Amino acid sequence: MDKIARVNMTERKVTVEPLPEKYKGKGGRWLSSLMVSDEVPAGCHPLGPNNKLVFAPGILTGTRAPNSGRISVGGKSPLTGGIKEANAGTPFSQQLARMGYAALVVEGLVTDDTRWLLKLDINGGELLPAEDLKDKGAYESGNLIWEKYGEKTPFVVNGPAGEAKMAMAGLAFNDPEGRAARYAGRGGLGAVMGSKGLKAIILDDKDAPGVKPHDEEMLRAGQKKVADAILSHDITKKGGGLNSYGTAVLVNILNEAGGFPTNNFRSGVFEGASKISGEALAEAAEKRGGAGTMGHRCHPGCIINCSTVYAKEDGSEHVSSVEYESVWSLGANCGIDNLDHVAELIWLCNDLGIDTIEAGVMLGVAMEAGLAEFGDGPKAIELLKELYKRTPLGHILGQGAQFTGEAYGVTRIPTVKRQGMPAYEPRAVKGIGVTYITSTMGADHTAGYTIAPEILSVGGSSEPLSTKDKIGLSKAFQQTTAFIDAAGYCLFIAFPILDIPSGFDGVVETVNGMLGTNYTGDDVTRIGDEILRLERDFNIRAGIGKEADRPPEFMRYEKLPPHNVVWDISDEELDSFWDK
Amino acid sequence: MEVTVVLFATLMRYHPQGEKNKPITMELPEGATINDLIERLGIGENEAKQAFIRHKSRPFDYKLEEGDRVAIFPPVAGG
Ligand code: SF4
Repeated sequence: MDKIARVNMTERKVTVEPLPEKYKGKGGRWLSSLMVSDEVPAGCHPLGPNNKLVFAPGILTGTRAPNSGRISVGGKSPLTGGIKEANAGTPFSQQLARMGYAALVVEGLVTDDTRWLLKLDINGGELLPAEDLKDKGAYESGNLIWEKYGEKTPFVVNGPAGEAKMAMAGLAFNDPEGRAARYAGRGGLGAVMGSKGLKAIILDDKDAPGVKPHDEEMLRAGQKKVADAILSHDITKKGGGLNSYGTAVLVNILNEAGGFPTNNFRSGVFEGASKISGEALAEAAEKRGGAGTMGHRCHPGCIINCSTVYAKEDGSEHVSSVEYESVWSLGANCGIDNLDHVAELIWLCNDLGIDTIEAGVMLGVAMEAGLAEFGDGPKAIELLKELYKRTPLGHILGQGAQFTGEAYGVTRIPTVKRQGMPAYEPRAVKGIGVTYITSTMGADHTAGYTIAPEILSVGGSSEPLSTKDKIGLSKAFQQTTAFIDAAGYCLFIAFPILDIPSGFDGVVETVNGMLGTNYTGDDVTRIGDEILRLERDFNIRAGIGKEADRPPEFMRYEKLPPHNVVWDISDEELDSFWDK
Repeated sequence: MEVTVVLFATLMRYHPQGEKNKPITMELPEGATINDLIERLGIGENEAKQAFIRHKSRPFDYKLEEGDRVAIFPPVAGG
């Protein structure tokens, strides 16, 4: 991975350049955030000519290290106004790495209403007219790409919401079967790609050189340690919780803990939780048969297989994947306990090309505003369809939860830095609240998943309702996560490596084997911290400083049942997050 | 005393009537703990990771009270 591809949409030119010294040995979020920070003026309009999109495979992506097929996409977010990196697991990332690209940068924009497809090969490639894909759903776009360019062609596509520059648009990468369903969802990067006139990117990997590790043996030894940890840990092993029930295995436990946001964050308990749980998904897969699958994977090389395929009553495929975050946002958060309605909402999000978390938080706020009753699945489906029609209402909703709430005078808007909160109630689980509030990304659970010790008793245990030491806890998680994101590993490897020290050693060893570095455990924290601070620096330059590291006000005075607690970590403590 | 138990995920196979996560009503002697209950259900050692009563995770030596509803989980995670 020693080169960068650059696509200039203004000049419609594709060039390849050697990877500058400064960027060598970096990958994933480390590289995407660094390049955005270096190349994108922090004050630019996210949809204007000066914003860029950076696609970067992880340091280990393309190797045989387990679960390492992640891609990081960076840019300035039209949702938060700050830096954004969203990532996804997809064969696309593995191919991009094997083609020798450390990064692909999309810059400039077309000034007319045309659509383009980038066909990237090892020498650069070309921009092709893509009028045939204009305003097509992400699913159909993916299908058309496989028809035209051959099965297995790795792709990333934008849905109609991204083309309409809606701030909750994400980017859909292909899964192994060609579904446009693996999302770099958060923060509106689909709108950025839409603003540039780029509808899709496909890879032609002819004569791809592959990735060359510095020390093959060390890489292999590390890889084995990581794999052994994954396959021996109860959560990630074959037949374990994630593999058998998918990520939605979390529904019941969060609900029992009183931390499962319900009806737009009015309560921490949802009566219909068990109906939208991983257990319910597994039961549906068993009963309905047909396409229904548990233990699906987002890219070859994943040995956990947490993904799912949900089938309709008649066994035909409805949607993949049904994740915890999505059944929560489009289910419990909207008071909807009908799994078929939730599946349809997920399908619509995937086809429109929008983030399921933001969509569900937006719908919760829309229900708060009286646009639908809580629990009304069919009406929620109708509301999402407004986005296809591009009605004024569709454009309002497409901007996300914060904008929708502002448009309708709602005070209960669960966002931080204008990004919708994920599926954990910060008043009931304080550490994750610190992550939501301090993350450079806006409310984002993946940035520092303190749920592991606070709820799941993984990697130690920490009382969820206590405010004690939560700043430090979140910080440690955010630093380690940034490193895992840089390496290109799926975040779920964190569960086994938090509990099994040799697994953690394996992570460091794989990176060292790949790069020829001598990193130790301390470097994981140091590098993670460096990444967080460079993102923070971008945000400050963009005008998003500590004043934005705050919870939504209603959480300070509205007691959340069943624990009847408010947000009670002070602003001063929150500000101390960034102390060295 | 009578308590209600709900089993989740991979523990559902220990339901005495094979009814997955349908609540189980159990009669236990006064002073019985979560550990006793886990043993009574035949759940293997280390298979149960957490038990929630009234929305809090309780240690397994927690003494049960009449009418408690106990939710028992194996190790789970997601995101
Ligand atoms: S565990 Fe899930 S998200 Fe992670 S790589 Fe595997 S299928 Fe993808």
